[in-house]
This record gives sequence, structure tokens and C-alpha cells, in this order.
Amino acid sequence: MRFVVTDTPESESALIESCRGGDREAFRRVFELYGDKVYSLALYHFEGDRSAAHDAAQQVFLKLFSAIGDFRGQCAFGTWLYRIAWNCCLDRRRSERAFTPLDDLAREPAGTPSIEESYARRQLAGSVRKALGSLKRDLRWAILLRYFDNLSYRDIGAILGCSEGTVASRLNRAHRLLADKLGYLRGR
Amino acid sequence: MIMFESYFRNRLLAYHDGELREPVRRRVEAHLSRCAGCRAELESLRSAAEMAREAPLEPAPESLWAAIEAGLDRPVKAARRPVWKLATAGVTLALVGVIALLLASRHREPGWAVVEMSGKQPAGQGTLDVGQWLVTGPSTVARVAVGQIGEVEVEPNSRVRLLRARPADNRLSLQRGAISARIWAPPRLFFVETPSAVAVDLGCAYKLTVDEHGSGLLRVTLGWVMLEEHGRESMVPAGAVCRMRPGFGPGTPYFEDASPAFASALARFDFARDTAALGTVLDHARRRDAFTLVQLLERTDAQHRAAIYDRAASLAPVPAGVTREGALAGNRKMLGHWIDELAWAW
Repeated sequence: MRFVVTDTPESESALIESCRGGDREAFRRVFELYGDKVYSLALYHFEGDRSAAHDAAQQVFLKLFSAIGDFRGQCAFGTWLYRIAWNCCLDRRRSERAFTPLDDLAREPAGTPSIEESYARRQLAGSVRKALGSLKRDLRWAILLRYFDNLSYRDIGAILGCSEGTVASRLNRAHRLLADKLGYLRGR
Repeated sequence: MIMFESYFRNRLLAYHDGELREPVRRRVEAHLSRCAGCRAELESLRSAAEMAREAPLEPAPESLWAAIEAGLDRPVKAARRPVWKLATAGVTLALVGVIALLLASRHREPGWAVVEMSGKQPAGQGTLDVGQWLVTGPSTVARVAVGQIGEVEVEPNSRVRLLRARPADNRLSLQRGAISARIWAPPRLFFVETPSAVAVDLGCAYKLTVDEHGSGLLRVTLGWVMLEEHGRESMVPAGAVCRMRPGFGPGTPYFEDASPAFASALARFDFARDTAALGTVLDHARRRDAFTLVQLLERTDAQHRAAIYDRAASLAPVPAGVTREGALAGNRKMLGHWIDELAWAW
């Protein structure tokens, strides 16, 4: 090897070790690895309320960094992080006084769509976002955890605090609902 | 046999996802071979899964990391302050927030040119963009242009990352390995973050090494470099070195020609909290090591300061404006003045 320019960080365990040592750069790398996913989970949880998602995601990472010394590798790091995210979102919900009605999740994301992204794909993404927004939160999280990070039923259960059987049942229900809502897109 | 069929229907997605135990999987498979309704249901679920995969991931806004960082910097226990101080702090925080947002909304930062060196001849080139890592092999030296303000040579087996490339904030992270930096810009425009401390350029040339545990060594060859971490600062002049450790931050700087006994005792005192080593430090200190002793004053428990002060004062004259009481109280202005005056003599 001569020199390589890469986007890839070193192993996750090395990264966690650096975080335990208080390495600010390691914190930033963890954020870069998981920031989009945690923010997206929060954004879906709060039905498109970007301000609430921002605050919740901030709280997730602050909790993560303050408690990272307690992480002993008893589960995958991502599982542990998503469990914090789930709890933060639930706690935040409980602290709200007024019920926030479902928002229209089909609006465009903050980023500018890439040139390559086709109109049809954007339309599909918007429809999926809207359909997900209509699901109950526990079903929505099960779907997002499954597809954002290809998590197993066992990991999803560990995050949401339920059994694998419950995860299977929720995912089954969620997929049936999505199939009903998005059935008109099949074959397009 | 509706119940019987619901048993299978409820397991179709888990079957699709490969989450069923083998006996159940076989039963579902056998059922599918003879049930057109379940095959259609499976197809419908598969299609829903494909569409669910299209659930877009939303990019976290750039302001989010700034907010997290601000939270990390916030002290855990807030002291009670007068209302006017809280108001001032609020305004300051608001300004910091606005500045952070303005910075976050910046245009894309330009990458830095990288040239691979073979001896003194260029052998290859590339660009290091913000967020990317530069990893050198066992026999590679890469020369990185720090915008228009300097140059960094990345030694073999090193791993560095470009964090920022802004006019007022040029920032690298050195995760392991070694770099040599030569900076010709005004102070505080170039920073290198390591697992132990941040090196702040004050107009200088230096070499920074980080081992696999995140411990580091700074060796300054021209000008000054400041190391800082968790509010702990070490000023390192040309000819001096400074060790650093994760969790401790920078140690106390010392001149390279100090005796091995002095350097080793200083490391034990800095990082092993070995107070018995302080006696060795004081015994082996030379006149120019008063510079080390003055920096020790600020980071030592009150019980040890008098001995350090007395030894430093016996080695080098205490300049006007520096009082014993002030030095023992860790008065930064006085200690800074003392170091400035010492710089004329070394």
C-alpha cells in the first residue's frame, strides 16, 4: 500500500474505545456513522417535526456519550444506541403536553435531491414516507430498524423491549398495512 | 381450516426474512407449495418489503453536531450565578449558535492536495476532502498542502483525517502515526486533534506522534505550539517536547536535553499521579527547566506548589509583577509572564 484516501473509519470497537477515553474526534465519527439514522428515526417518530427530531437526536447522542463507559459489548453497539434513541423519543413524547397531529410526511426532505434521483423514485420515497407515517409508532420503528440497518428480529426486540415473536407479529402487521396502502404502486 | 391458514399467514414475513427455525420453515414451505392464497400473500408482503426499503434516510442537519458539541462542552454541574451573568451567558450562547449555524451553512470546503513522496521526488497525487481519511503504507510519506498556510508531511503507517478546511479553522485529526507540520500563517489557524489533546499552532514547525493507544508526543522545532484538553494547557516552545495521554490530556512540557531522570519522573508525576516523583523532578531541574516547573505550578495540588515555586525561583529570577502568592494561587497571567521572561534566557 502506498497511500489511500478513504471514507471508512477504523473498527467500531476501536472507535468505542476512543470514545471511552473522551476523544472528541471519535465522538464525531460515531455521529457521522449513526447521525443520519438516529435523526431519521426521530423524524419518523415525530411525524416530520424537524425541530423535535433535532432535539431528540441531540439528546440521544449526549446520553450516548455520557454513558458510553457503561457499554460492555453485551449487544451490538448500534442496538444499544437505537435503544437509547427509542427511549429518548418515548420520553420526549411523554413530556409533551399537547398531542401533535400527524403531519404530511410526503414533503421533500431538507437536502436537495441528487440529479440522478429519478422522479419516479422520489415519488415512491414520498409515498412510502407517507404510508409509514400512518402506522402506529411501534410498527413504524420495527420497519425502520429492519430496513435502515438490516437488524434481526432479535435485535429489534432488544431495542423495543419486546420478544422476537412480538417483533415478527408487528412486522407482519406493518407489512400488510403497507401492502394495502402502497398496493397501487406495485408493478410500476 | 381458517385457524390453520392464519398460522402460516402470520409466519410468511418471517419466512421471507429467514427468521424461522428450521422445522417451522419447512412446514411453511410445504404449505406454500399447495396454497395459492398464501403464495399471493407472500408476494404481496415481498412487494411491501421492497417498497419499505425505499423509506428514505433523512440527512441529519449540520447544525445537529454543533448542538451536540455545545452540549458536550456544557459543565455537568451548573454553578449558581447572578441573573445578569446568566443573561450574558445566554446572549453569548445565542451568538455562538448563530455563528455555528452560519458556519454550518457554508459552502463546501475545498479539499487539500496530497502528494506522495519518493525521497524528494513526487511519486503520486490525490485530494483529501473534508471528512476523508488519509492512510499511509509502511514505506509511504505523503505531503499534504494545508490550504495556503503550510504543509504537513504524513509519515508511514499513519492515519489522518481532514476535519475542516476553512480560512480560520484548518483542522486535521491524527489517529495514529506521525506528522510533521510547517505552518507560516498567523497563530491559531491550524489545529491537529489527537486522542489525547489538540495541538494549536502558534506559528511554528513541529512533529506530532500518536501510538496505537492514543498516547502522543509533541516535539517542537520552531516557534510555539499549545496543547490543550479539558481546560488543561501546555505551552511548548522550540527545543521542548510534551507527552500526552488519553484521559489525562497534555503533560508538562520539558526541554529535550533535560536529564532522563527528570523526564521520567515528570512523566510519573503527570500521568501516574506519583507525588514521590516530584522530589526527583525538583532535584534534577536545571536553570532552563524552571520553564517546566513554572508550568507545573498551574497543574499541581496546592500542597506541592510551594516546593515547586521555591525551586523555580532558586533557578531563575522571578520577574517583576510575579508574586509568590499569585504564583501559588496559580494566577495564569503571572505564570504566563514568568514563562515569557524565561524564554529570553533559554
